[in-house]
Amino acid sequence: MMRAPLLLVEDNKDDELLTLRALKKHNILNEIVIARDGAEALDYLFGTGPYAGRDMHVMPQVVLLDLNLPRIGGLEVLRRVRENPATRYLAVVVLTSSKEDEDVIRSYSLGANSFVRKPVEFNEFVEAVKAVGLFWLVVHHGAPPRRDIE
Amino acid sequence: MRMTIRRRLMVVVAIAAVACGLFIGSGELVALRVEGQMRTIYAKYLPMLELEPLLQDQLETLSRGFQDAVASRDLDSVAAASAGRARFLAYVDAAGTAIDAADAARLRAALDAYCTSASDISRRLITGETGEDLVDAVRSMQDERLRLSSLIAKTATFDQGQLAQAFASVTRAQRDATSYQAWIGVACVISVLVLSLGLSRGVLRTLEGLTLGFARFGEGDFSRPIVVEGRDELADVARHANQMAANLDELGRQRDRAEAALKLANRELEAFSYSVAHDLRAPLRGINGFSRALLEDFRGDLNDEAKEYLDRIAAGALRMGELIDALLDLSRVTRARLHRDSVDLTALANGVFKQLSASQPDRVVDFVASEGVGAYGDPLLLRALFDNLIGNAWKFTSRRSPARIEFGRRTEDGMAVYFVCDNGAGFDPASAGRLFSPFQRLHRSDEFPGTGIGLATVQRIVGRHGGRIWAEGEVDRGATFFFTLPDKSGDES
Repeated sequence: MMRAPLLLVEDNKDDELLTLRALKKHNILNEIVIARDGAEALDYLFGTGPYAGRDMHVMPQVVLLDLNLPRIGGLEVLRRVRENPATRYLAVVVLTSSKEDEDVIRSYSLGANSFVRKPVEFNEFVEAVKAVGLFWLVVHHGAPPRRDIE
Repeated sequence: MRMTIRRRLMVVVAIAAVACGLFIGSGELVALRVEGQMRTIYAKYLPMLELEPLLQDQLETLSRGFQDAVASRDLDSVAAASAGRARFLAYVDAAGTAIDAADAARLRAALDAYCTSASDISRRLITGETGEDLVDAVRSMQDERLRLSSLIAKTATFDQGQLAQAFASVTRAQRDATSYQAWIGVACVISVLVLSLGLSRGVLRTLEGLTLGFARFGEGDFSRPIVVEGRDELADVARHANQMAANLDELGRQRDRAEAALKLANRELEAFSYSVAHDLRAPLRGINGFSRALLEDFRGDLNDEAKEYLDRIAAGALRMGELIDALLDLSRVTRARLHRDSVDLTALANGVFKQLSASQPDRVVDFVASEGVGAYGDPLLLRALFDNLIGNAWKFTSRRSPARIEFGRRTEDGMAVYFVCDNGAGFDPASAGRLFSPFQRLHRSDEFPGTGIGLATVQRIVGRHGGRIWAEGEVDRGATFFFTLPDKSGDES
């Protein structure tokens, strides 16, 4: 079976590179789609804008979502993902610098599956990405992808 | 002129006083008049009561004097008898107004005529004269005496009808006066009553307005002032109250503005903290992450010095991350809303110690927490307080054996003081003032690592609760941190 891709929504190039490196280090070989802001992430998920006409049967197995994003913020992306029947059951892991209580509470109340804080220490960061990757890409069986577009 | 309540009251009192004066004065006047009339009646009628028999008696005496003189045939006695006339007249004079002047004149004339006749006849009889003439003279003299006698009877008796009339007129005057007086009294009472009612109604109406206004002010509604007519003392009260309300209103508005400004500042601070949390940490992750990546991916190409430098870069970034976290914790303590509850401090202290022991199981520390110590405060913040205080004690006793940490409560000046005491590295008492300032460290970080934020956080937590914190210590003789927490009533206890 072809592995479903992983959608990384991240505007910081450093974090993107470090995340990719961490995933690679842990042998997570899924295709990784990168969106640099919230709008791009939504375009990919809903097949609009630059992603118009992409194969909508392919949905990411997990979305790693930063909160502090240009154009459309992470929480808004999460809200729209949960609003849309096509993406309602998508696994979304909020991955962010912040450990502000409010972010955690709002993320979970909007339906985030998990909340992971990006630590400064690289090794901890690797561990966090590994935990997320292993759980959501290996252990977790995502909701069946949508078969057709009405 | 300002019609103050005081003035109006004085007017009412003055009118009442005048009315009382009028009432009493009119009574007195009536009494005086009645007395005068009575006196006139007494003067007129009293002397008359015994006047007639007296005068008849005098006439009798006078006549007998002449008869005696004739009988004794003494001319001198005739003259003496004539003196009776003067006595008679003295009585008439003494009767005063009881006898009209005209009546008195008539009496005098009749008396004179009688006396003249009597003395003349007496002399003629003594000298032995006889004859028809004398007899006629005697007869005429007797007529004169009769006339005088009847004149006395007429003059010296009073008409009873007249007396009754006089009394009736006095009674009438008295009755009239009494009824006038009654009218005056009624008029006074009514006017005082009307004035008092008018005054009290005005005052009561104003008071009602004041009461309503004060009730409105009490509820914090300053939109309308108290409206009071007139310029009396209550109007002054209303004016002062309106002034006060306006001031309160302005104060309230100032407070609202300050609150709004504070809210805005808080929101900005929150936004600032948020961006610090996100944006300052991201580059640190890059620095740390790529240093580690270099170390891992190019280990063979680097000599030991280069590796050490990379280690230092990674550690520096890590430390800055810790500092940012500590600062955020500190600002969170300041911003967080307090949710107070009863907190078991003993359990909290034991929990913190257990966690520290678990993190460094090889350390042996003698920990004593007094049983049953409770306080009223925010459980999360108090937990952070103990994390820092007991964590500090744990850190600074790391070079002691045996290490000892104690938590307890004691009473100073009737007020509960909590303390965390250790036998660790202590501090120089001269520097105690810097203990609670952020980033102030009294020890070298290679001896005792730390951010320098912990005690500042502790101080803010105690401050947020309205308590006080202070410390005592000496270098190498341990440190004791004391703090107070107000109880439920808001008193420090």
